[in-house]
Amino acid sequence: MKQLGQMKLSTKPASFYRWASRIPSTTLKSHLDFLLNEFDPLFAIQRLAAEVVDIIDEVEDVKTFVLRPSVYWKGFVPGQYVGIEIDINGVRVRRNYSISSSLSLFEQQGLISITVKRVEDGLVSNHLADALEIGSMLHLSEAKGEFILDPTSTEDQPKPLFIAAGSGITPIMAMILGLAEFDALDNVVLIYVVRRKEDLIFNQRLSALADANPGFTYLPHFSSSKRDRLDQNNISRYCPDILERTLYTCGPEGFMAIVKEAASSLGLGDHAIKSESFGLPKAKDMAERLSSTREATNGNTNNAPVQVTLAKAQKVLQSTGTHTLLELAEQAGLNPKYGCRSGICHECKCVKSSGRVMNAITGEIVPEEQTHIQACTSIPIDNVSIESW
Amino acid sequence: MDMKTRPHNLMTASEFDAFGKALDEIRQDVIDDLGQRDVDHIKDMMHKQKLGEIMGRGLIHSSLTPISWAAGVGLLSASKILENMEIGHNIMHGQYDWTNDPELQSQQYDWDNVCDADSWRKTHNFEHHTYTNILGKDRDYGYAVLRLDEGVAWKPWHLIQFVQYGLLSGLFEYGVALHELEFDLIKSGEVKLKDKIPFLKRFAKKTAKQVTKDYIVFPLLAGPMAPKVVAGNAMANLGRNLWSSTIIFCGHFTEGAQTFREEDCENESRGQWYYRQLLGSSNFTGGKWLHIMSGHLSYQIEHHMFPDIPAHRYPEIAPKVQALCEEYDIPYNTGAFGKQFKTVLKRVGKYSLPPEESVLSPFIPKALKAAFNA
Repeated sequence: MKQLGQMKLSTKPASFYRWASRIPSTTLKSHLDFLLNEFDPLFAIQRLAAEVVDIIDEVEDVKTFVLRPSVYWKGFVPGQYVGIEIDINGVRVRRNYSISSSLSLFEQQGLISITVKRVEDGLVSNHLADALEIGSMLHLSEAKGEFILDPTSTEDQPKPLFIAAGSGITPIMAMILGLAEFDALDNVVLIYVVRRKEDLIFNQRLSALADANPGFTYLPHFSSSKRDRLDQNNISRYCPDILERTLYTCGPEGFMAIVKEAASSLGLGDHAIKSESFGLPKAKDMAERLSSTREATNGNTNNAPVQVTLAKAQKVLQSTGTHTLLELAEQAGLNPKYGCRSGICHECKCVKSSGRVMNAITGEIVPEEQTHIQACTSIPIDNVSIESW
Repeated sequence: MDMKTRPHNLMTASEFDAFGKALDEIRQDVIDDLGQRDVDHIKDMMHKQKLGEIMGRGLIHSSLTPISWAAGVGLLSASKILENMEIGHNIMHGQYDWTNDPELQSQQYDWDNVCDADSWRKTHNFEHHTYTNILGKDRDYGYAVLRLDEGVAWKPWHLIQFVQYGLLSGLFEYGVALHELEFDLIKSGEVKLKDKIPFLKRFAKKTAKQVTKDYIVFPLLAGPMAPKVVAGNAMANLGRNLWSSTIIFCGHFTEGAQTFREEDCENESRGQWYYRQLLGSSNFTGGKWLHIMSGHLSYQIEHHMFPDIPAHRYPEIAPKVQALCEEYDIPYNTGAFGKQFKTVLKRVGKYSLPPEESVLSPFIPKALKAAFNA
């Protein structure tokens, strides 16, 4: 059986990288990087680079970027994501994207791909779509994430049921490709929910995989109206043996909440439900949730803007519930530190001196007395003061 | 001269407010325009600096003739100047914090200088930039070694302050590194040496690092030729010290650069703060590379008004600041580099002499007084 991870990396660059990363002086490291960069940016040691080698138009507003990562990049397990760093008008920004390509593409050609859908007003997704060209360089992190399916260890495991929506197909695509490469695409079900047929990313490749692997059931589901929404009934019809499977779901927060609830009511245990969060709910949904939270806690639905006071920057911002603290601060011209932007990594911790906030993902209320909060998921409920910004 | 030390009386409060607002707008225009151009500039500087350093050190090591050795010393010295002035000093001011680039973060940057970066951020960014040219508050004013204003009491050893000035310039990085020690205050008993131990530890650590690099590791790499590397690196550091000292003296100690009294600067408005920064600083003119090698401190006035906007923007906003000064009839102190430096030397000379009322004054040759006062 093949070993996952570190397949491409030959020992020479790996040991050089281990050696070079241990250089205690950052000055020396940056001088070494200067020389390596002159030679090839993919050899730089301080930040792992990647070159765009191909750009594929998938469907409307969705592009796949094929990347050649730095020679030191360690590899991935299907389902993982990478942090992509790019400079937009001089400002470095970072977003996470799931790897959508197969293990063999990396193993044989040293390439991976990410598949990016334009987000309305999304700074990074639109920049990637508009500004990246073949030959562009960007920076990436090592692969991360616990939403994984290791195709080498599927024996005796429950068979997977994948339920994806929209661009949530990307990590699942890598999982399916992984299974196919290890001849394990057997007794596998994929329910892929989009609004219209034209929105199906990877449709041709998925259909071809279904044709070639009789054990793979590919079920596109179109939900152009509320009536067609995926629910408990659909799921049990599509996949009657759901209780014998592990559910992997990825898509917008609201979608995943529905899927998880349906799976639970069908009797699937929590341990058999794996999901990947794709960032924050839509602004409108956040505002709605905030409004019901306010109603529950304050007894009124008064959605008047609240004030966010930034002590160090000496700014007072208005919050209408559609944006997180991190977004508000960025709009006000601040550059707070952040990482995942989805409540995972805690890089964006800030210190709140008064007020309550709501967790935009879980709806949980962070009380007045909790001072260290994650800015990327926090929506002010009342007037809030931040003393660390 | 009261007028000189009490500038805030010259304009009305509302005039100061309007003046301050106009300067805030100049700053905001730059902030709104920050972008790729600024990153490209600083990255280009960092690229050239590294190239210069690698070539310079390479030449010093491999030189077989004094000429190539001298060329190596020149390149290394120039790259150290570029790193200290345009790159390090400016990054540590937070001019590029907005880029989110860890390499350009003010709080993380450390420079090729014996002065510990944290100590620099405290004594320079905070103390000197906040209390610019306030006697007794701005410890950069004469560095507690030189008498450059009549507000400082004359002592006989000031007579030979050209010697102190030469030593301070040659060892400038050590002077700056030891700034936080406040030796004069320890001597007078205002500060206890014990409280300075944490600082001394940091000083020792940074100095050891620099000395190890320039005087141990690189020379050892040259084997038997180590002495020429020690000499070359020492010359390069000396060149950088003399240059940075000269630039900094031209920024605050020219003839027209004014000083202030603590009590006159209490409760300053934003406009008054700008005004003090303006009167306490002086610019000099020159070509593009003179500005770059001075870290754009040739635009000391703009730098002191807007210490956290990328320095290469100063040449672009200087005409606006100058026009504003004309509008408010405020002196804008600038001139050719050589001319400004000459007034610095004159100032060092002038205040080395005892004041007129001193009993020693009659013993000073009239010609000498005249030369320094001309």
